[in-house]
Amino acid sequence: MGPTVLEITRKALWDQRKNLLGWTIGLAGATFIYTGVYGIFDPTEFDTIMDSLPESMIQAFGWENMASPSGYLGSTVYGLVVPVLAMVFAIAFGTRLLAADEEAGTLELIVTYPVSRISLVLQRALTVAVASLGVASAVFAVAALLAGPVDLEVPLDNLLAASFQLGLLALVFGTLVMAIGGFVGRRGVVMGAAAALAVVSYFGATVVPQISGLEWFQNLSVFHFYGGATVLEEGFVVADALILIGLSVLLVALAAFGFNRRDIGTG
Amino acid sequence: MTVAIRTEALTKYYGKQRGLDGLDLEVQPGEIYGFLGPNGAGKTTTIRLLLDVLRPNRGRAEVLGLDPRAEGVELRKRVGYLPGDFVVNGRQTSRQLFKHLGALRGGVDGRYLDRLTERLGLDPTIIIRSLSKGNRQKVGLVQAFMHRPELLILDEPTSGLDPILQREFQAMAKEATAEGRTVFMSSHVLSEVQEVADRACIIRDGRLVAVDRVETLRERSIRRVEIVFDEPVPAQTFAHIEGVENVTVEGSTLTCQLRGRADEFVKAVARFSVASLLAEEQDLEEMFFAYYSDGADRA
Repeated sequence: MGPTVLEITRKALWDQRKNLLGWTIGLAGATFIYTGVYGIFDPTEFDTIMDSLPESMIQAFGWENMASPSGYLGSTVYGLVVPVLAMVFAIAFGTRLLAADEEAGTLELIVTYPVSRISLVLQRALTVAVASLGVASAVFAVAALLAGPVDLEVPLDNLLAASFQLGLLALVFGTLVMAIGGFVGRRGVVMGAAAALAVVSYFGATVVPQISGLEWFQNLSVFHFYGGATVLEEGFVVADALILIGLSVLLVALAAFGFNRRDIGTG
Repeated sequence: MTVAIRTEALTKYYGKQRGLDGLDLEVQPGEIYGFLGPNGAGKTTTIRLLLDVLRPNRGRAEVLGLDPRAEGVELRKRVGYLPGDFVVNGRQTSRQLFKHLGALRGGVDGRYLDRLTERLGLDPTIIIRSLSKGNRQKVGLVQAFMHRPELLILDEPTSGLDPILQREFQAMAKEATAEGRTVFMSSHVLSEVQEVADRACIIRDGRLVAVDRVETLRERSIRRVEIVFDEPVPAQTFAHIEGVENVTVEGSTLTCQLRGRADEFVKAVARFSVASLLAEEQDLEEMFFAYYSDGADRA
């Protein structure tokens, strides 16, 4: 008699339901506010503001097309606030599912049940995937429903693609903390390392490429492959999505490898 | 029949610090085996090695004939484990926890589970966070017993339980072995093990100090005795009785240490009028000195 299929995933989602609901409301709320505000502004005013800002700053924050509907969404909802929130969510959530669980001592009992360490990591990673895409779906739903009423004309398929990329961005950071947690069972270490990488990634895609000679740096940044604003303008980039998915798979494999070969609960 | 647990030169270091140093152990099927030692002796380390929570630096372990690492899933299917520090997510009822843990085992007999919770007087509808320490320990015991495992590995099972529940636990352990199952339980107090275990071993600083039948260990254990008589007594009456040491008399109060059989001492005491009597078991730490000093005597 084997264990019930995906019991660990089910239980993790159930245990985290309030936490997940909170983050979903947070991200959907931010989307709601930024999307809703679009109806209030006069697009010509944007141009006046933009003209007064330094060119490099505008590029760094992706504000080139602030006045166009997709440009607006790309520089607000999908450019800064929501992806940053999504990364923070993913780091916190992924840490809870492995490193924090280990540090609290609650993981010890589960590894003494008839579940392999690898299965445990894979099922928890699946939890992260479900949560990441779930939160991104909520962002998509709010943006899509609100776009019409505020005259924000963005192709629905581009909006869907950008939201999917948002989910993948969260997935990469969620699996990144699991990969680190696979080797180090300490919450603080895992969150600190992942947060540092998130910051590097964000600035690596926005500010650093503005420095001449460092344009190549963006190719090291997960945030660049997320490309929310570009996707809203130009549509889905299959290669970028595959890079994020491939990276997540690699990170999960790394998490399973690390977790399978070490002592549990000794820090 | 395969032995329930066998370790050979099992060794575990934490960095440079020694956790366990060459432990050889053999637990037979169907017995209750007490695993004794003071705190920090390496009991929990050993148990975690048996369940593949930790990996040994040297030596090997075999549980129900299986390798903890290579055949871990099969092994853990057949074992019930109570961690020494039983912590679970407190924001759930024990019923929800049992449902989850039962599912990880592919389902357990619900009626047996109900009987266990009833027997220990655990209300499964209460949020675990709001349970007392003793009640949380019951949760831990139930999850270890709930699938009727062939082998129960219990780290300090009676800690936090009141005397009545300790009895209940002992009855559960005996019933398990009556069905041919095996119980391996650790404790830092001999008295918690002596009434239930068949055999016991003592470890200290990660090394095996003694393996014996529990009665033998008990005979060698030392008790601190304090007797208040109705009138002053002469110290020399007790000083030369075999097994009686460190006799002091202050007025009508006698204190001494008693090792092994108590018969001769009791008969000497009975010649006087006794107001009160207290006999405490010495902790294991002091018991080791008994072992070591014995060894030194013989050498």
